[in-house]
Amino acid sequence: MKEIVKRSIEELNELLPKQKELSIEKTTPLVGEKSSLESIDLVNLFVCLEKNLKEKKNHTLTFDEILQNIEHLKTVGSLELFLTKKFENEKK
Amino acid sequence: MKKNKVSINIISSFNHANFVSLLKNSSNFDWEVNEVNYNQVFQTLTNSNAKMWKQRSNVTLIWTTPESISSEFQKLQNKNEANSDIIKKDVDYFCSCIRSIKKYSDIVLVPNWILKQPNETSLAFAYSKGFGLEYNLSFMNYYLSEQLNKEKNLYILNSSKWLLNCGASSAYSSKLWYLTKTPFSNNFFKQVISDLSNLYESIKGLSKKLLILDLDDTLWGGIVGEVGWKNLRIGGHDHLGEAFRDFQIQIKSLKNQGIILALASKNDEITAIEAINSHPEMVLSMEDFVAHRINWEDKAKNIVDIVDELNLGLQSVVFFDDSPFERTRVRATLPEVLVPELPKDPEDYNTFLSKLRCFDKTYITDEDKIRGNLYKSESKRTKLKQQLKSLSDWIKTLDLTIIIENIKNENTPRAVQLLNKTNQMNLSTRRLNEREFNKWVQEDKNNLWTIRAADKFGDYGIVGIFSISIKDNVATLVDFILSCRVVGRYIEETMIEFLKEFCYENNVNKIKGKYKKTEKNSLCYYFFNKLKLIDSNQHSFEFSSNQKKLNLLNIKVKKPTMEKK
Repeated sequence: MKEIVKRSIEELNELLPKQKELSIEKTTPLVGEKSSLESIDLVNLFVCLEKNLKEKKNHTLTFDEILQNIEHLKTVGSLELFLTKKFENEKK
Repeated sequence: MKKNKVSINIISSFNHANFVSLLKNSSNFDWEVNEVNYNQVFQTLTNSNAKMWKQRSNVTLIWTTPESISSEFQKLQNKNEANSDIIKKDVDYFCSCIRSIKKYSDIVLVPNWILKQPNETSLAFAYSKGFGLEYNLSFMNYYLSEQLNKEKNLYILNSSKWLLNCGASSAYSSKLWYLTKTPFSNNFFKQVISDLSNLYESIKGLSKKLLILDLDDTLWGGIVGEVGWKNLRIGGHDHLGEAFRDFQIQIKSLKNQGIILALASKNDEITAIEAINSHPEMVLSMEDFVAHRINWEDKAKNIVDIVDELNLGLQSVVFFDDSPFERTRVRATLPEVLVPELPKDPEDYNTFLSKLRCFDKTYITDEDKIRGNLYKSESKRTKLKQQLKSLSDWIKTLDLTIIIENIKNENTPRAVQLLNKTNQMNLSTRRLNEREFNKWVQEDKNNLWTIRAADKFGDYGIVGIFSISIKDNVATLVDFILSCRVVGRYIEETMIEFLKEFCYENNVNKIKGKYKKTEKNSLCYYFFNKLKLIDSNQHSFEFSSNQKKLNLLNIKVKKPTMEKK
């Protein structure tokens, strides 16, 4: 999952001005006061995640699922954890 | 390296925020974007006071979806019947709006229409006149190009190509559409940006000029030194042979569009040339290559030699070689040279070449069609130059004839091309589009001439332009432009002599001018410095029309009438 999140952030960075680019670290904030991302950036991140999950793992993710609990999007690490748990649970 | 600034107006019927973000982060140019909110197409096009039109821009991009232009078209998406006469009127109105804002930028780009989201209609209905989406979309695009294709500096871009290259499933993003009203994916936008940059380079005369090719496993299958020319794979009833032949056909068509070809191959020269001359399936012949280096030396060195021989810059060069080693070596040694990563399978070479946009042109002049011959003559001249002792001895052997002509309609495209493409021997580096050029030339006070040259090796075509503007019996030298291919052959001195004579005959005593320094026109500085007109502190100059004549050797000069307009 780490690779998919990394790839998606790299794709998002292609759209961001240099000074706003996200560093790929677990503690990097995605939402909240400490985050520099705007709503369109979050949509783009989500679209990249959705595409990469489909391509690499054949997993489906909907926008509503990710928005159910905004805490999932707090940092890069929490997003990774959410996705790992979600698809592990689905396997079971 | 500092990127060139290009100002672009963006008007679109959909959310183009991602496109703009990618454009701003792209590497070729420093894009300065001036945009209006999406879905403000007609509001912007019909408002000549809109903020966007206050300042002239380099590019205006008008990107719309078909239903945003024609509400009648929208009916088709709801499976209702549409009236193609109404659609036609809608397109007419759109075109008239585009014509009204054309004057505000150097070029206008209009991507043709594709659907904003995939919509697979019933197979039987697709081309029905009343109900078919495909029929009406094709009709709209056909009619758009009929209406706009005679407009200068306006280009209709082929959106279907981006769709095809991306594949429909990755070109569209339904998520982005429903969440942000962005119809296309970022991969799709990246293709558009790459094509846009190449197109702009081509319009500005920055596209590539010289294609240097390897031989073994690049132009033919097999290593000629090992298998002999009879066993090379070109054409015939052989899938790989056919692929190499098709690749050669496409390279030949590039040559016909003015791209010059050369060879750099590690081979025994006699063996390789015998193969080119003898193999019955070869499409390219030695005549097609203006220069070749077939030897065992470093390819990077050979490329530099070829470029020197042809008097070109390394930034004009594309190098094709199947060997990753050679590609890496050339890339590392000559970073200015474009070295595409050739596909591993030769059957993909042809498609790969067709997708490279670096040779794209927006028009082809007569000079383009015979450019290979011009450079071939150039190569012969360089070789002769090396055998002779002094430059003047060499010039004398050339039987050079120079023809100076007043600007004519048929020479305008070439003159505009020289004005916008020439960097080195260019006094003012003034850039004008054809409309601005014609407007300037038509003014009574302005005179502009073209220069043609020929010698015993061939005709160079139109190689230069120069112009003056006369006011109160003083002539100001506005343009002084000569193709770097022919610099140093006393053509530039001939231009100065003609100017003096013209001014003298018309009672204009003074000729003044100013060298405007750029990153690339030091060649022009050296020429005017050699004439003792400028130095490093003084870039403005003035000389008298009856000043002592320059030595023009034995050059024959044909001149036009000496009467000013």
